[in-house]
Amino acid sequence: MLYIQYSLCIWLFYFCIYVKYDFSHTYNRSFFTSVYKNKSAIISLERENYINKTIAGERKVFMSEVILKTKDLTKKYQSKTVVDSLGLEIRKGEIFGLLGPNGAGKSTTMNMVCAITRPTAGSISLLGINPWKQKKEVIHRIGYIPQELAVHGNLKAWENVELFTSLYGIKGQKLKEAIEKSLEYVGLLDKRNEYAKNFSGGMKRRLNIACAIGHNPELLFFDEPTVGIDPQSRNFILEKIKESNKNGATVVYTSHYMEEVEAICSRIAIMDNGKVIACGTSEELKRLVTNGDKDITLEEVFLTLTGKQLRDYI
Amino acid sequence: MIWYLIKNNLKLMFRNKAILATMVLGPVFVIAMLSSAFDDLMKSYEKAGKFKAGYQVEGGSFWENNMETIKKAGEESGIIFLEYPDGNPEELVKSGILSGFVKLGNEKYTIYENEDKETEGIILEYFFSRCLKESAGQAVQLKAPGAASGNFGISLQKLDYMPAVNASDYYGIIEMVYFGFLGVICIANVFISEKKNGIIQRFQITSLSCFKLYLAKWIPAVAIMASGILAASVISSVLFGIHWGNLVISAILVLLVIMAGISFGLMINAIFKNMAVTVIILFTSTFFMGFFGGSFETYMYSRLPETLKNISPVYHVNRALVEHSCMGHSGYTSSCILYFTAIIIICTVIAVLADWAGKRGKGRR
Repeated sequence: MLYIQYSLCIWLFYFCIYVKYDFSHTYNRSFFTSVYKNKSAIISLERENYINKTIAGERKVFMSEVILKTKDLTKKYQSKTVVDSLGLEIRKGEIFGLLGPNGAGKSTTMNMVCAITRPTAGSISLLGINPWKQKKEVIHRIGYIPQELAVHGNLKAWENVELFTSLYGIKGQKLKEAIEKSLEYVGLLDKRNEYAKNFSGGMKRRLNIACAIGHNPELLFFDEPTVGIDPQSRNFILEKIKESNKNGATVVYTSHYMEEVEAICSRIAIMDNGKVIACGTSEELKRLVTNGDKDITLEEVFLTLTGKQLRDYI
Repeated sequence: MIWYLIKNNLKLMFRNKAILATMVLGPVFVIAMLSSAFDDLMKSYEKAGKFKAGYQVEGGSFWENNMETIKKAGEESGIIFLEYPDGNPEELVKSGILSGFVKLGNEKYTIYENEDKETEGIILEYFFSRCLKESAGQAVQLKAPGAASGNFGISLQKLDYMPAVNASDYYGIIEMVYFGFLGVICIANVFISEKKNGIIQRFQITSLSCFKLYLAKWIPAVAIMASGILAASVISSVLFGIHWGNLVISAILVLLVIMAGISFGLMINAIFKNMAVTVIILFTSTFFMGFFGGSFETYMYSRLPETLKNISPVYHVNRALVEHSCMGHSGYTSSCILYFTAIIIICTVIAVLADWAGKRGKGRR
């Protein structure tokens, strides 16, 4: 009996070591690689808290480690509470959708998590680190694609990518390779020498993404990346988001387009008045409203949960 | 990482042709305009030649003991001082016997000028102002220890009285200083693009410090502005034959002005976070500094109070550069270096702190 207990202890010890090291090696900076898919399945199966979810109706992804966690996250602007005691848990390998009407607090939440806007209260754990205390340790592991087209019009496409990628300490040959990879990734390699000001809306959006992925981040934040672009560009961007997720990146995505969110997100949180009012897979959200009685779209779920009145916010 | 930021900021500035052209051609145009407008006036100063001025000294005043020294200094400067102990100054000046008159009292001195001989009057004013203001190292020295009691003397070695400067040299030099101080304009498009496109947010998700961000603007702005002013100086020197005097010292002083101007502009922008406000404040403050410092009216003959002139950093550099051009040396070089170095350091510290506070403020808003 003692021998069995001893063997179990040894086995458990080795198992812990294996999980710990394999985990870090597999997930670290794997944006452009595809090792994630196989390894993650093994690890996640051995952990109990996996979620089995179909994404875009074709691929099974198992998620485990919590990569982003907020607890009682609050942001107040004078007397107005924009984000109210928000609690979120986003797991590694997810495409997590944040839905909400204008002024719901989606962008503010993203800004707080990315260490742009300081929270009034609450805690954030981003990749196991508090971004407001150890910004330098975590900042190069995340990519933020802002809602604005944050590129210089008077710089060429490659110069824009060079500028923003170099800010993460990448230089020389590595920087050149990163620029090439990023531009190729968003399909702008042949337009590398064109000025950004001459780009169409869709091309600018793609360049915006290229500027945020050059440093090969593990966690990507997309703040409404498909606003004002044609269906082809939108489809391209969504495919790329799925591809990057397939290659190992965790994605946090905000949008007003329900069909987009439904198509690419493994879990969705609906926010209103600074609070998460519902969270789960799109099926779970639909069940929440209809009890599975009738077929319903995500937009109907959204309107049922958030109401139909106009949201004018300042 | 800052190198790539500097490089791309340089590219952004170089691609704004309108600003570049303004920074190069602007000074050339203003020099041409001002030097031709003031040419006749400044020639009249040159033509003043020797003239007679009367004086009366109040008994027991410190002037009494130093009158011989002053007379000698005046002679070197083309002013022949004649004593009129009992005459009526106004009548003497009005009659045209004298070009000016000075009544030297214990607490003040009064200068009587002839309306028809305004130039001589201004020279007389400038001479006495210079007598009082010049300190060690200059030809007329006030012996400080006794100054408090009013019992001090003036000793003459050689009066560095400013010889007449021609309009091209004067405006050719000082307009470079004026434009050099407005250097932050050349980086305005970078700030506007960053703000308009939300690029500042992107910078916040990097480990870039406020100081590095400041340097990434300051270095390319100084480089572009220095190149622009150099080009403008070469063009204006070729077109108008401007004499700069000691080229090395002049180049150092102009570079300091550019650095200080850009630091000042970046500081205003860091405080107000608005380029339009920055431009308005920068132009207004530079206008006043230039107004008191001789950028429009020549500082030699300006009737503005000396204190106001001395407060203006532009006055120090204008004077140092003009004196280097026409006299070969200047007592204002060191004060000018100190003044502008202090501006660079203070403005840099405030700009970085304001930027840092702004980031924290934004977070806590």
